[in-house]
This record gives sequence, structure tokens and C-alpha cells, in this order.
Amino acid sequence: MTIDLTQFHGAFFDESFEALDLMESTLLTLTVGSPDPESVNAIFRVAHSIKGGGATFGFGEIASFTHSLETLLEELRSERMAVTQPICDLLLKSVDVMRAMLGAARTKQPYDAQSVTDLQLDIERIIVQQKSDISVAPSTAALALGSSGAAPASVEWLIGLRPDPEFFARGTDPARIFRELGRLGSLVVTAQLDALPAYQTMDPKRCYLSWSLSLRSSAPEAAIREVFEWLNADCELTLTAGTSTPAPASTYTDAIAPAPAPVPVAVLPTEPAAAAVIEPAHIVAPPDAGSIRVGVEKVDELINTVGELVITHAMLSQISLGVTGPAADGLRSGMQQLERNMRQLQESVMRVRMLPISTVFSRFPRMVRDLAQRLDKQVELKITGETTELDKTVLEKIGDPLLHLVRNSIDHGIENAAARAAAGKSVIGTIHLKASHHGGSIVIEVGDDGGGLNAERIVAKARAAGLVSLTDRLSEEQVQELIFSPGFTTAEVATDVSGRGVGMDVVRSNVTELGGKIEVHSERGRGSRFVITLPLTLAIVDGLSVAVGDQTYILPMMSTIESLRLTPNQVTTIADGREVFGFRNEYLPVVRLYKYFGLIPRTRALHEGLVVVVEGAGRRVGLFVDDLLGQQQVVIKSLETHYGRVTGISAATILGDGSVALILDVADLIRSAAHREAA
Amino acid sequence: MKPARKTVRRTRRTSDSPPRSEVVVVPADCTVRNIGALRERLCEVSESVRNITLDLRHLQRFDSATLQLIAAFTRDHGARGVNLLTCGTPSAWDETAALLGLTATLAASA
Amino acid sequence: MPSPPTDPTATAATSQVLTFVIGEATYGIDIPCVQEIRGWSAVTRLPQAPADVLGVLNLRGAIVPVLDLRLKFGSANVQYSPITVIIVVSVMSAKGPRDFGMVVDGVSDVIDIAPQDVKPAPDLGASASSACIRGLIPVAGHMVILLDIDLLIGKDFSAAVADDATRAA
Repeated sequence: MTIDLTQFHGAFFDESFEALDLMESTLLTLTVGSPDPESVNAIFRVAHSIKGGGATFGFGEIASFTHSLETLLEELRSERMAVTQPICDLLLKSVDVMRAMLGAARTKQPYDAQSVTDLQLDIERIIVQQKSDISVAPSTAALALGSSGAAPASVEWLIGLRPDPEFFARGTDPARIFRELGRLGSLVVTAQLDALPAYQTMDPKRCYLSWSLSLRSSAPEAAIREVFEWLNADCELTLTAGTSTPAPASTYTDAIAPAPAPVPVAVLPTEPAAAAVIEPAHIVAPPDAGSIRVGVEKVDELINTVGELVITHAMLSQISLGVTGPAADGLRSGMQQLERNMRQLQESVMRVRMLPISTVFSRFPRMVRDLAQRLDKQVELKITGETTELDKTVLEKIGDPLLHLVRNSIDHGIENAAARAAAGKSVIGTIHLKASHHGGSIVIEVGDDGGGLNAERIVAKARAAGLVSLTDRLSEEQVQELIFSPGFTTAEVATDVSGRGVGMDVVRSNVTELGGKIEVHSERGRGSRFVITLPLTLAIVDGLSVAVGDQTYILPMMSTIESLRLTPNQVTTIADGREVFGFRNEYLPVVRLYKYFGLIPRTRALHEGLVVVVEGAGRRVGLFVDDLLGQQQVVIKSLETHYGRVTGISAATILGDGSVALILDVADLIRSAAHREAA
Repeated sequence: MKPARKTVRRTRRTSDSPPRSEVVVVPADCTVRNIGALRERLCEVSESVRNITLDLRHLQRFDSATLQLIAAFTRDHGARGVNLLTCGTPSAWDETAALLGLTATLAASA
Repeated sequence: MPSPPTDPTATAATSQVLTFVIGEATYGIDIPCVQEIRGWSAVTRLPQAPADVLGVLNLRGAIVPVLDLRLKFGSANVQYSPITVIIVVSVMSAKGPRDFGMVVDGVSDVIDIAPQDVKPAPDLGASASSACIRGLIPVAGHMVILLDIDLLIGKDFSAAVADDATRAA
């Protein structure tokens, strides 16, 4: 009965990718001169387990490559070879190659097989070159590669290998296999060339050779079989145990060595499935006692249901307010208790989807190292707060913007060694990645101690691009805000690394799409700091409900600064009819929401309603509303499922009374209100 | 027996007399994927040549297919009494040849 | 339309249609896309929506837009009273099933029609409302105007969204 192994593929891929991450991070922290033995061991185990899984599931190329890798790592962990910088680089390249192969196997896409073969050959070459106790005695054609040769319990194995013609083309190399065998004992190899045609007529990609080998070894039969475990079924392979003498050296080019008489122990099966019986333990990594894998859809369903609960609770709450009579008190205190339970449930469920930001941060050390090397700069990366948790979806989408910010820092922020020395700074530049919780949000900071933003250059480029007129006088913050304009760049030469600066506006829109915001703080000569604030979750938002006419709107708390009641003399009307008021040392425009939404308000007099100061798109405005109705957490419901996108509105929610309230998209509102005023 | 290594001296060619020596430079990357190029080069070697030198100094990547091809080449020319020399042999070459049982075949008939 | 084979044992395929009234006219839509029929409830207005899109309402937790078909088909005088009816329909779009509600004056019957009895709509000019008419069918002495829901909605909301985009620019 054959088991369908494809059901295990997903787990194999997941675990292999995780193992590769571990291997990479271990390699980056490995001290070349005196590596920590446990680290080398850990890396060896990664290669070994991926090899096992690869062989079991029939991913021959993966098994073959990781086998070579494992061989190198075995030399390293037994200290027969030293860990050098070139070897480290080779191992890091192996991580990339394995990721590519696994990714290709998972998505059933092609990958660059040439790079795999090349790297594999490099690995084998380095093993051959660096090992000290290799001795070749061609006159007897016997290979003794430092393994046990004269152990008392050694057996003479006779191996015949007749590969099919496509052997080479498939990427298998007999030399590699025989080298493996040579480690198990002393090996004598006889090649049969009788099928090899004249060089002018042969197809050089086909294999015309076959071999008989004699291996004297005390290794168990399983170890010998393992060497051939991923051979294709089309090769003929025989393995027999015997005590007859090896074929005499003179039969290299001609006759087939006389076959010994003893009964063959077994004809070695060559399908990878045979290995499945021995290997399953390698594929399924022992789960650590405290965790289980759960599909994302299950978690989302859970969150949806909790969201519905929140709405139902709000509804009941509302109704209970109107209840009178003897049951009223009991009901109301019951509702309050329910609210506490709900809040707890909500928080727990949100946490289920939360993962530590280290899963994103972990990509960076490698990237920083490679990039700094490429740009010939010295950069040190400091990471703090990597245990800070955030929602899985936010995590997935914040990676690219962060990547771009870090690349920018290395490319444009950190100066080269000479410039830094001239400025009296340490030659090694520092980039720090920080994550922390603040109130109900996550704050992520990307900072560097480089040259900071060059205000003059920014303004010059902005003028050239027509974004700013010659007479505009901008505050420092406004200048720094300019970098978020589409298509903006001050790089003299667009590098292929961070491109033409189309990144910053994309970074900002990525962040605002997640319901967050990004600010820049920079000091010329000292460095720059980008601060990203994100909500903890995408499903629920802390909102301020406001009344405009007969409609209720929700303002996200993250965007609100303060709400105030203005007196008539606080408001000034300027030349083109716009109204402004003073707020904390600046003048902000008033946006009459009833006008924006085409509603009839309770009052048109600014001092009879309320102004809520909000912030978005790098600006602040005061939104004029009729009343503040309260503050509450609302469940976000998409408008786009059944309708579409509306300017100024990010989503909708269902209030306690069952009616729909729209959630305002403050940044969008500010932008479009400005356009309308200008029109 | 390791083949004797001699440095190559290109003989002067006149327009009428056929070449007596030829050098085949094996490129850096010579594995089964691009082995066709090497075979074409080998086929260009004149039949009337007396000495052939295989220049392996640039060789960086090779595999069993490479050795198979060179083994065929060596065998065929050796049978006709041509002197086949190699120079710049990488250390892994001999080791791999031994693993494949091809050492004797690749040993030039000197 | 091709006529069915003249096989006495074969029954001509019929489809079921829900008929409803707007003003003086009777309209019909295919039953399979009807989700439910509900009475009038308050709708939350959507900014910058076309005149006949009244807003959105809460349909068992989903936010569903509501279209007033009476405005769409040129009825000037519309009232919203407890007997006003909303028919909730579902159409398949590129992004998956999309629901929306249509306000009508009243719902009539579910009838069976035979495809071959449907007559093509007369050319009423290229007005927005006529584009979604699939055909006409005589039923019990009066004409039922068959509507193509996909054309009704697809055009309508995407136009609304596109308008939004240009207005915001």
C-alpha cells in the first residue's frame, strides 16, 4: 500500500524554510576563528533534516545538494576542516540556493539549476582542497580516504553500477557518489569503457561508462545503501557482500571484472520511497510542547465571529438601557459583566493572530551585511524590541516598507568611511531598528547616524519638480514631508538599490493602508529617524463617533488630536473664503463636514458645534461637526465587498442600534478637501 | 603514473607543412551543461598532429562528463601514437579521475 | 432564440421570475439571484453617490448598498413608507458575489416563463435604464419587463466608483 506523501509536503516546506532561517541567522553570528560547536552542529542538523525530507519526497536535486552540504558540515563539525570566511560565504550562498530550490518545488516553477550545480561543485572542491589527509595512489587505483580500513568486522562489498545514459544530464555525478563510498572504507574502482564511442561521434552529455567497485568497510549495510538512496530507478545497481578478491588492475579499459559467486544479499531498490521507511522522523520536526500550527482561515473565522459578538453585545446594551422595572438593575450589571468578558475575549483572540516582529526583523542582518559589502560601507545593525507582537497581516505588509527604509539608510543615509572619518564620526555607521508598544499602537523606528536629510537639496529638487514655488517658505517639517511626494528623489545617481526614490510615497501609502502613519525626524549631519505608528489590529478600531446632520460618522482615534469648541473670535476668514483657527502655534483650516458630505447640519455656526482636530497626510485640520457622541471600539466592515471605494471613507461599521456608520479616512479626507477648496 | 608535464612550445607553422603540435585550452566552466563546446574544440584538432597539449590552467568547474570526454579523447589519440600532455592540472582533477577509475586511461602515452 | 426540439416527451425549459411593480409598470428578475425581500429600513447615506444609490444598510452583518429603482426608472415622486419594499439580490462579479438591495413599490408574483416567449425590447434609445432590459414577455394580459441584474448593478456601482475617483482628482 503506497501512502500519498504529498499531504506532508506543506509541513516539509514550512519546516525547511524555518530551518533555513535558523541556519542563516546562526551563520551570521558565527565567529570565523573559533566557531561555537553547538552552532555548527545546529547548521549540520538543518542540512541533514532537509536532505532526509528531500530524499523521502523524491526531491532528488534538493537531496543531492544538501548531501554535499552535509558532507562539508560534517567535516566542519568534526573539526577536520576549519571554518573560514570563504566557507561561511559558501554556506550563506547555500541557504539562498536551498530557498530557491524549495520555493521552486513548492510552486512547481523552474529555478536556476546551473547555480545549484556550480555551488555544489564549489563545495566539493573546497572539501577536496582543504582536507589534509587525502592520499591518492593511482598505480593501484585504491582510494583510502582516512576512514577505517582494517577494522576486524569489515566486509567486502561488491558494487556494480550501470547508469542510464541520462545520468549526467540529470545532475548526478558518480564521482560524488564514489567519494562518499570512499569515506566508508577502502575503495577500488574499476571503470568499463567498452561502451564509450570515439570522441568525435559520442554525445558528450550521455554517460557511456559503467563501474564495478569493491569496498572494504565495517560500516553497516544501511550506511552503504544510503549513499545511493536517490538514484533514479533507471540505473542498474547491484550490491553484494562477498569475500573474493577485487578485480585485477589491468581490466580498466576492457573486460568486465569476474563476478563473485556468493549469493547476493539484496538488489538495492532505487526508489526514494524505500527511504521513507527509515526517514519519517526527520521530516516532522518534534513540535515544541507549547504550540500547534493553525491555519490562518480558522483564526480569521474566529475573529469574525468575535466581531459579530461585539456588535450583538452593543445592540443588547442599547436595548438594556431602555429597560425599566425590577429586572433592570440585574440586567444592566449583567451587561457590564458581559462587556468585560467580551473585551477580554476580543483581546485574547486578537493575540492569536499576533506574531513577534522578529519574523520580519530577522531578514535584516543578512540584507544589511550584503548591501553594506556591495556599497563598500561599514554598517552595524542594532535591533531592539524584536519580541514586540503585531497582527499577522500587518506584519506581512510592513516588511517591504521597512526594507525600503533600511536600504535607503544604507544607500543614502550612512556616509562612506572617508566621509564619516572626516566628520569625526566612527567609521562604522549604525542603523537601529526598534519596535515597541505605545498605548494601543505599535511604534517601529528605523534610524541611522548618517548625514541626515539635506534640506537645501530637497527644496531645490522640489522647486525643480514644481512641487514648491520659489516664494514658499517652508518649515523644517514641511521640507522633510516633501520626501513623501511621488517620484521624489535627491539621490544624485539612482542606484539600483533604492532606485529613483519612488519608494517613499509608496512606503507612506503602504503604512496608511494599514491604518498607520509615518513621520520623519532628521538632523543634518547627525542622522535621520523614521517613526511608523501602526494599529494593533486591522479588525477593530478605536473610534470617536460624531454626529453631522442626521448621520453618525466614526473618526479613528489614532488620527484625532483634540476636540474643542471655538469661540467666534478664534476663527478668521482669509481672502479666498477659507476659515482658519489658531491651534498650538499654527493656523489650521476648518473643514465643514456637512458641506463635504452634502448634509443638513444641526447648526452652521462654528461656535455652536464642535471642531475636532485631526491629522493625516502630514497635515492637520479641524473638522466641524454637530456633536460628539462618544468613544467606542468598532468592528471594521468593508464597503468594498458589495459596493466600492468612497473618497474620504475607509470602511463602515454596525452600531449598537443596528444601523450602519461610516468610518472616515482622515488622510483621504484632508487631501480631497484641500483639492476641493482649491477648485 | 602521473603524466609528464611539459611547458608548451608552439612550433612555427609554415603554410605548407601540416601542424605538428596543437594546444587545446579548456575553459573555466566545463561541466555536462556546456560540454558540447569542448567536444567541438576537440574535434577541430587536426588528424595529423603529433603532439597535443591540454591546457587545464583555467579550469575551475568540471564533472564526470568532462572526464569521460577527455578519457575518450585520450584513448583515441593514444591508440594512434599521439603524444598527449596536460598542463595546469587542478588537484581535484587527479582525485576525481581516480575516483572514477580513469587514471590509467587519462595517463598520457608518453 | 432557437426553438426547442419537437420531442413530445421533452418539456420546454422554463425559468422562474419574480415580478414587482414600479409606478405603473411591472418588472421581473430571475429568481436565482434573489436573496430576500424586506421592508423598508433606514439607510446610511453614502457621500458622492449617484442619486439613485440611497446608501448602505446592514444585511445580517454585511454592508450592502441600496439602489432606488424607482428613481432609476424615472419616477419623480418617491415615498418611503412602511410598505416600501427592498428586494435584496446577489450578482456574481470578478471579485466574488456582490449583494445589493433595490427599492420598489411592491412585489407581485413568482411566475414561470418559457425563454422562447421572451420578445426583444424595442429600441427606446440609449438611456441608462433601457440598457439593462433583457426583453419583454406578455403575462396575463400585461407586459412584464425583464431586467438583467448584472447589467443593472455592474454599470451602476462601477460608474459610481469611477465618478468618485474623478471627483477626488
